[in-house]
Amino acid sequence: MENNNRKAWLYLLPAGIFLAVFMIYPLIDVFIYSIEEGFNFASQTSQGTGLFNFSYILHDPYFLQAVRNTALCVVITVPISTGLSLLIAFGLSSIKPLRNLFQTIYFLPYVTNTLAVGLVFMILFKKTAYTDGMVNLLLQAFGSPTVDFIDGPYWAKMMVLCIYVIWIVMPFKILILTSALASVDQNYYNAAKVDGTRGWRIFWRITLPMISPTVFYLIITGFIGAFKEYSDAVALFGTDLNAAKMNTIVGYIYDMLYGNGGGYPSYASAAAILLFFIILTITVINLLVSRRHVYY
Amino acid sequence: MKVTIENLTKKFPGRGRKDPETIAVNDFDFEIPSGELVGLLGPSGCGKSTTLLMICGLLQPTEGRILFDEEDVTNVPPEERGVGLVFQNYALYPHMTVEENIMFPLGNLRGKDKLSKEEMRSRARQAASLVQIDTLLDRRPKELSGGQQQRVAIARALVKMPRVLLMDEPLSNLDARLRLQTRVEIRRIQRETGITTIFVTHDQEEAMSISDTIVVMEAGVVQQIGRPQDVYDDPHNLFVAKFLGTPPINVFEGSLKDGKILIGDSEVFEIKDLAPDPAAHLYEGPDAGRTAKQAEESAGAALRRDGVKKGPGRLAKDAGSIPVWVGIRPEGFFLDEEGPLVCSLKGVEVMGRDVTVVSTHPAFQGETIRTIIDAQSGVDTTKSEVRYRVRPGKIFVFAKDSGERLYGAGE
Ligand SMILES: Nc1ncnc2c1ncn2[C@@H]1O[C@H](COP(=O)(O)OP(=O)(O)OP(=O)(O)O)[C@@H](O)[C@H]1O
Ligand SMILES: [Mg+2]
Repeated sequence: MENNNRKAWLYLLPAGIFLAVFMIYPLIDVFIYSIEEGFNFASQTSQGTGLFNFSYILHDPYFLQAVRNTALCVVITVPISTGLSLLIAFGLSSIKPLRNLFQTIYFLPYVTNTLAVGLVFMILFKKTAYTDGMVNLLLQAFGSPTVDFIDGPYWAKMMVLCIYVIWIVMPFKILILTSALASVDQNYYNAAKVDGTRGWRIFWRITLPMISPTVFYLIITGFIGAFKEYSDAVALFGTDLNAAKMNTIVGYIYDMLYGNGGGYPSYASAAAILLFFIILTITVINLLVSRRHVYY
Repeated sequence: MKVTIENLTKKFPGRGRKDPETIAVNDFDFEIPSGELVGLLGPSGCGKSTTLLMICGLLQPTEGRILFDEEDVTNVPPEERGVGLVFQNYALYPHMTVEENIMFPLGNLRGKDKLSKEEMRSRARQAASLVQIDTLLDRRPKELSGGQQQRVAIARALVKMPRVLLMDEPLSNLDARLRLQTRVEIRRIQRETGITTIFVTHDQEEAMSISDTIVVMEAGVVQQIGRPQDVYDDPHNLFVAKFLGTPPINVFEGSLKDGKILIGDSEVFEIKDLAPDPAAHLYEGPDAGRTAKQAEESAGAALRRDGVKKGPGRLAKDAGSIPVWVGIRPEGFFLDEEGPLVCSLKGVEVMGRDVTVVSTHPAFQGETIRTIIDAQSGVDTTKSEVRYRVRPGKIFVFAKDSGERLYGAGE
């Protein structure tokens, strides 16, 4: 037994070393950066330790804006994308003809480059010298005033970002959910049918509980993904997200490291640590909730 | 609730040239009297589940009708038929407790049938106590043994007081002991509730022990319907004879000549009364209520589907020597120094009251002949051969081509 244990550790060693070098060491490093006041990259010196960096970013309007944007994005996109995916997957699994075709269509955005998708959204939403964008043309057709979705009011930009994020994350969720639905034993549905169960009751009492582990997996990964939102905002609003008031937490971290002003690893680290704890908290809450609703 | 099945046929379309269409159930005619327990018996793939699924409405028949009492339910959806179905793998909802599982069908009731939570509870408890699982109500299915799960499945099927209870091999997941115990239980519950029940199994012993009537099927075609003992004593063809009984019937290659049954050159049995008419008993017994005309039609259908003249063969005294299959039940032998059937002795298995004698014979179809002899009669195991005489009523003669019985039982 003792011997076996030692062997197990030996086998885990290579993976352990990699994890230590590439994950744990940087994490510790980031933590140290975040509490070193006024760290200077060039001279590798700091003026002392403390919570100054955290205090700074928490008073930085750009950071607060980024937190607000990220939170909005999370709160809006996670429930909507999960719910919609569930609906579409359920629909897909109840039709027989052309199911594969539809599955492929729904999966296309997943294999499409973010920036290419960004281009499509530009065509849909951006006002240029030549056209107001498809959505605005539609709005005009219905006689309502046009909106500049890319450079216009905050709510319009937020809406476009959310639609974009939802659209980007749905294919993966639909794929996972359709396979989860397909793996539910047909006998349960037959049993329910013989007992005269109506459609919605089958869905709420049988289908949903049966695939609940998958749904919770998608919600947890959805939260994490949405908190790390960045590239989609860049694809829509360009790299100067602060100016567009559309920055996200990850965008803020990036800007602090390499952006225009750049060179503020301490602030970036402090923001990264904050983000880490936000995600940790949300995930723990998710897991606690899921334990009460998942039976496997 | 009387259940009538008329010309029930189910064809599944094939998938191209290599896979022709499957006729899972072929022209099934039957009437189940109210309150009976019917065992649907046959080898794997013979169409038992298909029949059951058509009766409960999950499968639409290709042809034929299903009637509950006088009501034609052929096109009635499953939820309106009022049937309870116990699935082969139980299909208990894993995320619900036992009580929730049993209550689930009641929650589907609408309108004037709608029950209050309290009523549902008490009905569920009633059903649970009928199958003796009252103490397990708060568990989830995976915390139950196979036998307990099976009882929950029965309770769930019974709780809405179905007009007909259908069970698809409900005991196949249980070990031998539990199976024995549970089938007694099923019999008791069926008697107590008086619900017309159809019980599917491929285990002949199981079907024989609990059914009022058994239906033996093969390849979608009903072979014989009758009281278990009647079917055993009076099999209509070789398939039924071979399917029922443990150890199985011993089949020899033989011939029929001048009213004598021969195995090899030895005359093992003499038929006293010739020219029996097996058609006379084809449809007696459980479905005696059926008119002669219906019986005739069914017999005609049997002829049509086989393409060959399968009908009851008549034995004529001057028929000459015709090759036949001779089947003798294991209990149909007795030891006789002078007996005509000479077999080479392979061994003896003592089972307490009885002794199983294992032997071989050149004309025997299969590995070894197994005969059951009274322990008192004593077999001389030092000898290399054993001689038998055959007991009347335990020997059957079947046609070589169709397997139809030519002689046997009470004739
Ligand atoms: N959905 C289907 N499509 C095509 N063929 C089917 C289908 N369901 C059943 N069959 C065929 O119909 C025949 C009867 O099947 P069925 O399930 O009724 O057998 P069974 O008697 O219940 O066998 P078992 O004891 O193995 O459960 C089989 O040959 C099977 O291959
Ligand atoms: Mg079956």
